[in-house]
Amino acid sequence: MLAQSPLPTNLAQGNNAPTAWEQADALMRALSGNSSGQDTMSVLEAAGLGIGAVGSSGDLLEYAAPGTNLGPASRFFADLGQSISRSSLFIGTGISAASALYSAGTGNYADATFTSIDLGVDLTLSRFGLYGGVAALAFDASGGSKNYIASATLSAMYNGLSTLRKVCALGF
Amino acid sequence: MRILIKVFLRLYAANLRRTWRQAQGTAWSDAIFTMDSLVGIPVLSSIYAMWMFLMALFPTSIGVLGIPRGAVVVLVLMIGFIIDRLLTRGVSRYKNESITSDSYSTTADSMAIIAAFLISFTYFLIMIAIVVAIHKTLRT
Repeated sequence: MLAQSPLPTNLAQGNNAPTAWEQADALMRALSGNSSGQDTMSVLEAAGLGIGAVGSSGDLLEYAAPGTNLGPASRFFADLGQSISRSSLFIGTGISAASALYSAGTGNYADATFTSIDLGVDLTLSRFGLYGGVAALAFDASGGSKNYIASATLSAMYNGLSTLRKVCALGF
Repeated sequence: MRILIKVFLRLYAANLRRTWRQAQGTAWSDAIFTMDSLVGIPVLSSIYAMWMFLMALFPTSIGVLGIPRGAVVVLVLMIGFIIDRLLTRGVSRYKNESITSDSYSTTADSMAIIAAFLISFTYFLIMIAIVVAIHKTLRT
């Protein structure tokens, strides 16, 4: 869902700024089906999950293609798999950064903090990105700052897939 | 760009020294991926913070657009594609240089890699802080 800010409309109706922002936040939460004041991030998580799935297929292609009897084509598919794998790992990192920024921009500071820490661990100590992924799973399993089962499940699947990919693709 | 290439070559050499995926092709590919993240995160966070700032500055024009989550995904994909293409092209001329696992193996070289990671992440945190500050300013 494309959630647009209703702030200008509220301002045009003569509301003062804080009230307009509160109403805008409430409306955006209502539009996204979240009445708790916490953003579900479903679109970004779904995108992350999709990219994780695409990346996993790239990993599979990279590892399986050299063992096939396709001649020069096996090398082509291995290279293609490697390219897909590498690109999707980076895009997945970008999605994490975007999630943190979006959470920060919508006042969901718990999610923003946690996602930033996870990203920081991935960036600065990539070997320990595995533990970041496991911590994210634990965070989601415990409810974290999300109240919706679907969102938490989606997030857990994304983090689980990312963790698995780090284990496989980065050679842990 | 020269600094980025220096960091890339040190990353590539470090990948050649590790115990997994240390073949030239995979080490090269992984070094590009790492550089993509190092460069992409600051670029993405800068664009996001700038957009938040413009939304606050022009609430009746840019503010109307808001920050659609679908657009964020498209932005990430676009930035990823552009940076990956530029970096891949930029470092391609160094592929035939005689870099081995013994190259760039001093402590200073390792520190340069760590510094690059820390600078990238610190910049990202600063952008997060700016986004939070803009959000709080607009709410009060």
